[in-house]
Amino acid sequence: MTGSTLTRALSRQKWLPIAIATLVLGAILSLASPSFLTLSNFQSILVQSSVTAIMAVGMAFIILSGGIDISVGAILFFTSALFAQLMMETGSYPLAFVAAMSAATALGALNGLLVVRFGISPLITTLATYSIYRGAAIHLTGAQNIPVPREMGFLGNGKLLGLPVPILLLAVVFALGLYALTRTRFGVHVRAIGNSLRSARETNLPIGRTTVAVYAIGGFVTGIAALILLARVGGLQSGIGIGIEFTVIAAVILGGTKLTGGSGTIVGSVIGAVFLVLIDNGLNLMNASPFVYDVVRGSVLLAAVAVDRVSALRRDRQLRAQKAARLREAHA
Amino acid sequence: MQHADIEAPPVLSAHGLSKAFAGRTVVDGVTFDLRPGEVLALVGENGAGKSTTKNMLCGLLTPSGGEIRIDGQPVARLDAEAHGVSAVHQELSLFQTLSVAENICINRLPGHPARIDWAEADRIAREQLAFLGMDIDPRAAVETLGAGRQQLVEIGKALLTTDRVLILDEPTTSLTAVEREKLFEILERLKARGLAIVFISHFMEEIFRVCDSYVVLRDGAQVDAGRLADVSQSRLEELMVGRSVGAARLELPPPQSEEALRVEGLEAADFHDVSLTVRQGEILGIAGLMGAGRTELAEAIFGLRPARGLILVHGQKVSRPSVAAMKRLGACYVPEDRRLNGLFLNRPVRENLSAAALARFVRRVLRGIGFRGERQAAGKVVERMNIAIPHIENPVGDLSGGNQQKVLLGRWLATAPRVAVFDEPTKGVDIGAKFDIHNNIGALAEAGTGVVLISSDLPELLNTAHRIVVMRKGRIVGGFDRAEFDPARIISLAASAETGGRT
Amino acid sequence: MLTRTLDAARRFPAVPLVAALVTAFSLASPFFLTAGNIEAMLAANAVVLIAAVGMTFVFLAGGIDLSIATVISASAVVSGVVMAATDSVPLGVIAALGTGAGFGALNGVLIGGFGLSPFITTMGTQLIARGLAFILSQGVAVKGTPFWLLDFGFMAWGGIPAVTLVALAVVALAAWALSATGWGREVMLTGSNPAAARFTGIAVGRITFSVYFVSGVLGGLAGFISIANLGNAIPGVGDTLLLMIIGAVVLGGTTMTGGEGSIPRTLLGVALLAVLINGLNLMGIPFYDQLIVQGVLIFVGTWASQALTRRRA
Repeated sequence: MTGSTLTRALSRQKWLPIAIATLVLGAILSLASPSFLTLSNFQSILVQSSVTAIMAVGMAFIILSGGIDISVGAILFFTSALFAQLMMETGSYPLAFVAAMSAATALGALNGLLVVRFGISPLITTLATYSIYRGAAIHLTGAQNIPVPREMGFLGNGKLLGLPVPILLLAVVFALGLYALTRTRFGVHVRAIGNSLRSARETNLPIGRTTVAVYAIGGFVTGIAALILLARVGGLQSGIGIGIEFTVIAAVILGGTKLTGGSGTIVGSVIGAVFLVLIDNGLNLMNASPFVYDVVRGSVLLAAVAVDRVSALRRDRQLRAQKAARLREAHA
Repeated sequence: MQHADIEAPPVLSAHGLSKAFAGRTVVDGVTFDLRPGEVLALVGENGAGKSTTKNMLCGLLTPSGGEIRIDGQPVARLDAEAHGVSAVHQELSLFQTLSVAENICINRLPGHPARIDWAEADRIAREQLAFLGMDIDPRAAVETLGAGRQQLVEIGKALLTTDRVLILDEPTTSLTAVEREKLFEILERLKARGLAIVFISHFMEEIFRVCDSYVVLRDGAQVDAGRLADVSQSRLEELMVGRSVGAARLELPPPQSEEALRVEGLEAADFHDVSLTVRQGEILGIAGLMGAGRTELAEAIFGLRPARGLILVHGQKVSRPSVAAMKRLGACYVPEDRRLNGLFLNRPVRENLSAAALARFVRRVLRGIGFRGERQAAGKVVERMNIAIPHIENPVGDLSGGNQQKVLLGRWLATAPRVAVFDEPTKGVDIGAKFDIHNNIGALAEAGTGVVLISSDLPELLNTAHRIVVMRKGRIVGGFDRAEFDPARIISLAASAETGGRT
Repeated sequence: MLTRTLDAARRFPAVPLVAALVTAFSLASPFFLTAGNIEAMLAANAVVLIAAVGMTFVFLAGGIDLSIATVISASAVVSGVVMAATDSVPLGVIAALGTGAGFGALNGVLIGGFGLSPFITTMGTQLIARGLAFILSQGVAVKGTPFWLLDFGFMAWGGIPAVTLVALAVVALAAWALSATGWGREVMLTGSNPAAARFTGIAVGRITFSVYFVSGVLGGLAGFISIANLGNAIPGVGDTLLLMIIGAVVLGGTTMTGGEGSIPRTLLGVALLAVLINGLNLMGIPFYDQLIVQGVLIFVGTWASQALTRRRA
């Protein structure tokens, strides 16, 4: 593959850079530690990334449509709290399950409705609902830690068809997300609206409906993530979901999705989440202090957007040069 | 040319169509009948009301008066989709990151909503592209296409949703000569299919080539309508402009001999090997079509886009051009798009007026702004430019287009420039404001400033400039002194197809 | 008359709300309007006020600084560590301001110089600052604050705490810089329309850099003040303040889109949230219900002030 073909492939397939970076990081880690390149470790990495990866699929839709949702961490916490509380009070799995998933979807949809209806930026809107949802969740549980029944662990650590359940759930969410974005009318509308709101208006696209749906999807997948997380940690803890919105957004951005909307992929977002877990693994191997993780994550994010910016500037320059050359030729 | 069936009932008609914004009438009395297979030219100068009329015809605006009829039935508000009207706006409504097929089919995605038939979408796109004579990959992202191809994709998108009425707003401005020919061919085929077309343009050559009938708008009012076969080109131009050329001609003293601005061998992505000279007290007009590279040239001179070449202000070489550096040398640039690049719409008129000369009002001690000096200076500009505002503390966004333009001009005139580049300074302003602006530019030149005036309004150039150069496809292709101004030759030079395209 | 009232409401949409809250709480609790409570309320909000002033500049220039909260933490910790080692308050001030300036400069270069997205950039520096705070402090409060600073934390003149005076001095200086200097005007114009600012010859990149730098420095100062307030440098001291800081700015009526707003408005926004939280505390409303009220207030307040300031269709 020549240099220019590679650059073109990299700029066309937005997820390729993060995929390559993930492979390189994986290769480095397997050189550093013999136990890294095993099937069980591979599975464990996917399980560890499942919560953020599932949420990243939803966030990818939101960002693709030109929005942002800061409240997903609070939705995650609210859903966990509602589920744990209902299980404690009623012991009914179906009830707790249906209520939690409905609540997650409804809170997401509410974000979308507020964004569409009131015209306040999604950032401020979801910052406000972040506070409301988290407050409501703690109100609900009276600020208590609530354990969930032991058999819930199945969702976090159990296996089905020889595969860990979180990986299966991630696979399902990933497949459905991919399908919705690439094969349905809704998916086309999401990308169109995120790319140009003006064109979307002139083309008569269902902007309101699509926006609400996008945030609702973000809520729904956060509900799934909440159940997995609850199962993995064994119960409701007060710290659940704090700061996770930034990890999820980082995964999506690292995956090559533009914050300005209209351009990005589901694949990249999921790989971005895996990449962040790989970094944690590497730091863990190096026995780094857990406090270093934040510094490295932040630096990786900055490096990624800087590299992206440099290559965009270079592409611009090349385009200008080509245009100038054509002009010269035309007048020669 | 195949003629439309004059006997057929009209598919789209307008009767006394009018539109007012905040009590100000911008379009009045538009009346016409459009029959299947007919092409109607909607002509007028910039600001004559063409866009507003177009937006009413495609349902983006609700008329304030008069009515639109579809197949003879009056409709309260036109629903483009339901009534089979499609518009291609001058500013394309494409989705850059989406593929060609996705863009063409955006309103008619084949298959079930939950399962798009992409093979079918590709087929439809290919069919449209073939009809438009284009051989491109329907899966390519639109952003990878050039401006001309994007224009054709947009037409393909519009054609997919209608077989009745198509509105084209200045569809040829970004096309090469070859693409333009192709478009005319396509229009012939569409006519044969019985499509009715509204063609908005101010290129006479094109209008007489493509259209059957015409409606002329001037200052928002319909001044004439009829069949093109019954009217001459010069008559139509006269109707558009509304006065014979030369009526409002500025009487200017001859320029001085000292050079104010000199550009040599300037090169960039949008223009090639441009050289020009403006002397003190001279107004140099630059004529050309949209997309000829005139705005890009002006922006490059002021360092707003990268370019190579020599720039001299009053004989002094500008090694690293920038707006600030040029300002220090006494040169200013008043951009074309005042809302996008000129004005701070939510800020008061006072701040907008002092923005370029802020340093003058900063006190030596404590480095604060001297508000009294700022207010007085702003008041003076308001008076001198004849700006109609209740108060200088009102946000500039509340003003009318003409007054906004005067504010922008006033901002730079307040810097007492010795070189001034004006880019379409009267675009979209009313006649009164236009008159004021011309007088101010004239006074500037009389005081010895070297002026470059970029305008698509040819009568404006003929009336104000000492000299006119013509740009086409990024190059200066000709120059005229005032004594030898010849509108027909300037137009043909600017729009000529001979060397334009890449053949 | 009506237009003048409306105009005042546009400029300071928070005033009637603050007045209403003060009335309501003083009726609901006899402690609300006591000198002790007012002094406590003032001291508790000095940190947020200083940081909110920094955020206001960034908002006015059309950006956002998500890192300011953790920059407060990082500056507090760095300053605490320096003071523990040297027992010198001046060195502590320098360390705090220097740390804030460092993060501000990093944000400024990446956003103003390099053209990166403010949201992502400050999200990245936010993580770095948080990590730094925890690494240097090992996750626990830094001990060894000089006695003078502890005293300073309790000082008050005429019922106004010293830390509040520092914050008010910052407000006064910032209000002057924004409304009466060429720099402030250029910040405003850049936020109003960056393209037009460029076409007017304003060094947009440099102005953008400067607002993030100022925001960083003020974050550093806020971090230092937090030590005086709490007696120790706490590694997570600022982390939870982001909502309050942004909330105060938008509630005051400064919009995120730039070019609309002022420092006095932010002062009122902080006052609004401070009164609200203090009053709810006095009434024994638990913190989680306060979160709900805060969220609702921020949303509704932003909506109302946007509706008031939106003049054109």
